[in-house]
Amino acid sequence: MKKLIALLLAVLMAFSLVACADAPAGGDGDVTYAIVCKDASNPYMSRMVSGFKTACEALGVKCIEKSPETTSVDDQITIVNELVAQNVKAIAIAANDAAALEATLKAARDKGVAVVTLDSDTKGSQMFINQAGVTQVAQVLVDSVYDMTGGEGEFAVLSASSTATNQNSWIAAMKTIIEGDAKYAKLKWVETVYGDDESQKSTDETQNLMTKYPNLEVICCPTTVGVLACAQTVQNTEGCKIKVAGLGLPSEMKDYVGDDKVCPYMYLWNPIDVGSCAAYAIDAILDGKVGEVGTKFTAENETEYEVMAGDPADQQIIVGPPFAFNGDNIADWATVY
Amino acid sequence: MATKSGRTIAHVKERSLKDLLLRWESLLVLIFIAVNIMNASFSPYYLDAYNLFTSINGFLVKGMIALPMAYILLLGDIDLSVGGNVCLSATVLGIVYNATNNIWLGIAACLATGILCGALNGLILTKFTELAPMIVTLATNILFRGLSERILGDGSTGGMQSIDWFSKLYYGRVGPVPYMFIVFCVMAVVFGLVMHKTVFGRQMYAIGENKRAAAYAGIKVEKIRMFVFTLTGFICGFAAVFYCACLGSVKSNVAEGFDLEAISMCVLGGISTAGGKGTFLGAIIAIFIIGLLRYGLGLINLSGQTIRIVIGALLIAVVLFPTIRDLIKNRKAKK
Repeated sequence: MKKLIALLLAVLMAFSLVACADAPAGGDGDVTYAIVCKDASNPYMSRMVSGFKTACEALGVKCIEKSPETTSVDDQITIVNELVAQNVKAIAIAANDAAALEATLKAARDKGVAVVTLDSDTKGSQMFINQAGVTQVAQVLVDSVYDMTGGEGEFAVLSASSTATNQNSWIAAMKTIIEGDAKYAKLKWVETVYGDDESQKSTDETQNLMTKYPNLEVICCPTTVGVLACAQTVQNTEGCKIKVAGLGLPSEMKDYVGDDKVCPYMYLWNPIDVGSCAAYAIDAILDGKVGEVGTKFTAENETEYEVMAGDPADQQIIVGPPFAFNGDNIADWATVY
Repeated sequence: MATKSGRTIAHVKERSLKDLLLRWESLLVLIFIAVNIMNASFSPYYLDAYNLFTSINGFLVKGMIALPMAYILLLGDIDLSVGGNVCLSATVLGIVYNATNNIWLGIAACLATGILCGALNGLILTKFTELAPMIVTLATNILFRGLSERILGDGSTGGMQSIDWFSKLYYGRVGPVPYMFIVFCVMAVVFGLVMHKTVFGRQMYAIGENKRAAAYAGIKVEKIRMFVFTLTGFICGFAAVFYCACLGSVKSNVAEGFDLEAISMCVLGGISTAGGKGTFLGAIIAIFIIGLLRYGLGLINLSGQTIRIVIGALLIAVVLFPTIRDLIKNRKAKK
């Protein structure tokens, strides 16, 4: 019995000793920016974080990265609260829900924290760092489908989760573009399926599509996890003539992109640029450089951004147009990200 | 117990002190203190009352569900459907509110959904007593979440946050203390008193200890199980109201993992999944140990995965405690 008490006391003492050594770690003088991803196991998100970190170093501020284990909005709320408690100066977040973070982010802003969203927007954010305009992305996706089907035929969309803000806005914009232009009248959109950004589920959904629609010509995947699973499945199915279009990471897709391969070309923006743009935008906001909608500002990275009206964020800026990867440039980009 | 055999009072006292120290709750109190000392010393931001209560609010929805879960486990049953129940109840609240523009109707429908879901579990399990609760509630969990997915599709429902008093259910405070914390405390006291101070509570212990013996002793076993499952459903609906006030927007993947979280809290609290063992106080302390440990580790920016490992290791260590305690006792007895 005495031993047990002694042991517990010893553990307590050990804790306090470690504590004394560690206590001054988070002084109030440091300026810290934090970045919160959708989930911890997404390679695209980690590229974004690396861009954010590099920019933070260049700006001379500390950087914290925190991400939930799964794409859950509950965990993101917890994380934002933890960051606010640590007196960070700014939070950049890739939101897992378009509305549920509003109260939490507003509370953070009330405490003087600058809040921007990147990758996926949500209510309550000051500024959305838009990787590419929604219509720009939808347009290149629709054009890929148009080109790969040869102007007519069946195609399907394999998305991430059915609740992802960015996926749904691209899909909605694709619908508008196709319905609004007679040029696309012969394209038949058979179904939209959801792989939840999980390899196995995306593979299963691809196989279901192949069985259900024998005349399917193109599967369009506006998600990096989905496009990889889809390309792998199509490639491994003998005699399958389906083409894959979408948004993919060059390093993951390098074996599948090329003129005679399953994916002739695909698009993406540079996630590293998105991350660094977020850090520079935060810096500009904290410096008071960002004005009303319609004005322009030049960030520390010497790039000029136009402030536009955001939806649902208060404002937004666009990082740049989507970039095409094809057989000629994929090998180079595969070494970058 | 020992007075009749002629032993001295002092001896009895010493034994009871030892028993007190070796009780599960004492260990939990020590862990609770250790967690708080550790958190406070690792992070200078931990002891800020406002932020601390923000974080406590964050795990109280799960904590509310852990209260009736303690009853369920005490009976020797298990309910894996609470996450799905919260999700479906919250969905119904959003849908009814948006259809009628009346938040009271939404709340009523939400509570009714919770009760119905719980009653469905109870009905299946008491009418077909040969079915394992784990399998049945696993299935109803999928059913509830599936219904929510069917109702919401790829969208979400919301807008409740525009009602000021409704969002205050979660965000409102008296000083630094959130309303929800007060509600939780009242619930915890009521649940604790019922478990330890009423005939009903003792009947639950008896059922968990030995269902057949309890039935022969005249306890209406299936009636009580039915009631407890329905009660759990009601609390899920009740917690869903606060959850809606927190999120302001519901989609079909909310409240995922609440079931296992609530069960871990109870198990850490010393409530045996085999039934009949444990105290309510233990469960309450355990809710705060898990919640505050998460918060503290989050404050020093450990990754989510590392936090999982720490919590898992803690659970294993604490669950092993009775075995170690018995070893110590046996060694003493040999001497």
